[in-house]
Amino acid sequence: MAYAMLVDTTKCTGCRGCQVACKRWNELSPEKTTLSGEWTNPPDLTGQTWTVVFFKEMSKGGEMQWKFTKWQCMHCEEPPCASVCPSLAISKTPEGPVVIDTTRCIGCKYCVEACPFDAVRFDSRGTQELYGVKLGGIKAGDIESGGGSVGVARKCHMCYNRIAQGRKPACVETCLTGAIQFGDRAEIIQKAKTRAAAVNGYVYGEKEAGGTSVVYVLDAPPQELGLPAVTPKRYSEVKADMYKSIGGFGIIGAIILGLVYYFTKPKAEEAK
Amino acid sequence: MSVEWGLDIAAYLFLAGVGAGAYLAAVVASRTNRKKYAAFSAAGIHLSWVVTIIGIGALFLHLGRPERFISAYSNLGSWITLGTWILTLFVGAGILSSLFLTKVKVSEGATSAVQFIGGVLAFLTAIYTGILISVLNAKPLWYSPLIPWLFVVSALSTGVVAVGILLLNRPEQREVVNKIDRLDIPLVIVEIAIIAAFLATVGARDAVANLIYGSLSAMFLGGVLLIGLLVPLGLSVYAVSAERKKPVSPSVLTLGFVCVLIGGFVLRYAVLLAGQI
Repeated sequence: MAYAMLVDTTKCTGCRGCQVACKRWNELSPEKTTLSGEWTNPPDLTGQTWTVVFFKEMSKGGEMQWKFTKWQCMHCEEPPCASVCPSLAISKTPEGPVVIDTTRCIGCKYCVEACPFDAVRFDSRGTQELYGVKLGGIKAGDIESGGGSVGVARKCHMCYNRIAQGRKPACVETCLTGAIQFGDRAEIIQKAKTRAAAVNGYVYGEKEAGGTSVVYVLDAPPQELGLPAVTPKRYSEVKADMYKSIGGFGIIGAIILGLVYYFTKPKAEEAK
Repeated sequence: MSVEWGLDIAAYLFLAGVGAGAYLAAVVASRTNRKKYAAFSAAGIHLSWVVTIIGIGALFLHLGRPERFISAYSNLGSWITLGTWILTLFVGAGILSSLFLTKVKVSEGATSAVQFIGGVLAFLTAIYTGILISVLNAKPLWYSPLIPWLFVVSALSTGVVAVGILLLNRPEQREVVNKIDRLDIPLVIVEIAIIAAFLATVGARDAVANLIYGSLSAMFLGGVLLIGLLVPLGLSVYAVSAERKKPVSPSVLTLGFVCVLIGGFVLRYAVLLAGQI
């Protein structure tokens, strides 16, 4: 069965329980953070932080409002990261999660560049020690503790290892308010639409990138909340469109070159 | 957003372009007039795989787990996999071509067959470095069909002048070097036209603004447009007009060639950075 996760931001209180549950289940290292004036903490996703609640202040009718948006991998139906991965380390499982096999990943970061949701991160901790060069930073002992592999791409895997046991992802399990839910994708989308209609809000993830296995209910337009505007096209269409255009410009270029050659060649001979 | 594809990838895209351009130019020149361009063609062929291998070295060091690089050959739907195959075959064809020119005596047919295949692979190398990033709609600045063609033209111009630098201190090759210098005029004009069309049509307006008057403007306007394109164009035009009276000092040509190389590198670095920030 294909599952999906529902993130109903209208029910989120910003407790960050999901962040903690994610770190604990996945044995991810803590982040060293600094006071930045922002409330989002840690400030962004990293190779060791797979979900983060973005804290945003918005004003509505002259009144300040907090907007909490839990962010993580969207688990695309047709993931660009898997399509571009040269070592076939990323796959979309039938249950919905998009999973990176960190024993196959070569650390080229093509997936990081290809993710339209900017949700894949390169985990560079301790790579120097891995190759016996000490350049400072993390101690050798930390390499395999705290989240396993280093020098590879990492991200939320929707706790596929919990789903396999019939359990919900760690963040869903821990969420106190029901802001994160889990279930059959079709039902989740239905739920999202009903809820969005009730709060006069927006659904995000139903169509983006051809559909994703994470679906949001938002009470403000996605771009106002800082979520990326992503084409509803599947990645295979995105690529096919580009190939056609590249070929088109190639043909135009060839015609121009041919014309230039045709019109300059005789003149050169006349000159002789 | 963090920059994961930075200097090392820019260096690689540039060096692979130089190698591909040098090989293509060498093969085309040798087909036009084998005797006249013998030295040019040989220099181009030897240079092509050497710089490409250096570029591959940069790519290799970029990997988080270089010891697993062999699995980069796995996914034929990925442009890194396709590129890895193209590069491998191109370097192979380059080394073979070099051997046929020097140590190994083979029939003319075999030499030109390898050079033909090598030429096709060189073209594929040049265009793939652009396709690699242009298939990523996640980076709106890169999602442009003009990037692959821009990189092809840039590969040709940087490849040709790289060979030109090798021939500069050989007085008997002066005529060929002058030809290289002259060839740069149309290439630079085409490059400027493609860059203008790219900036005008690409979807990422804020990245374009960043290149033209934002944090990357010094790099883009100074490094790419001025040093990489306008200065060499001016020097070449000057050389062509002055050459009618008396030979131009080789340092003028050298300066132009070096500027083209700097511009080719900075172009790739600026496009990579602007796409990611």
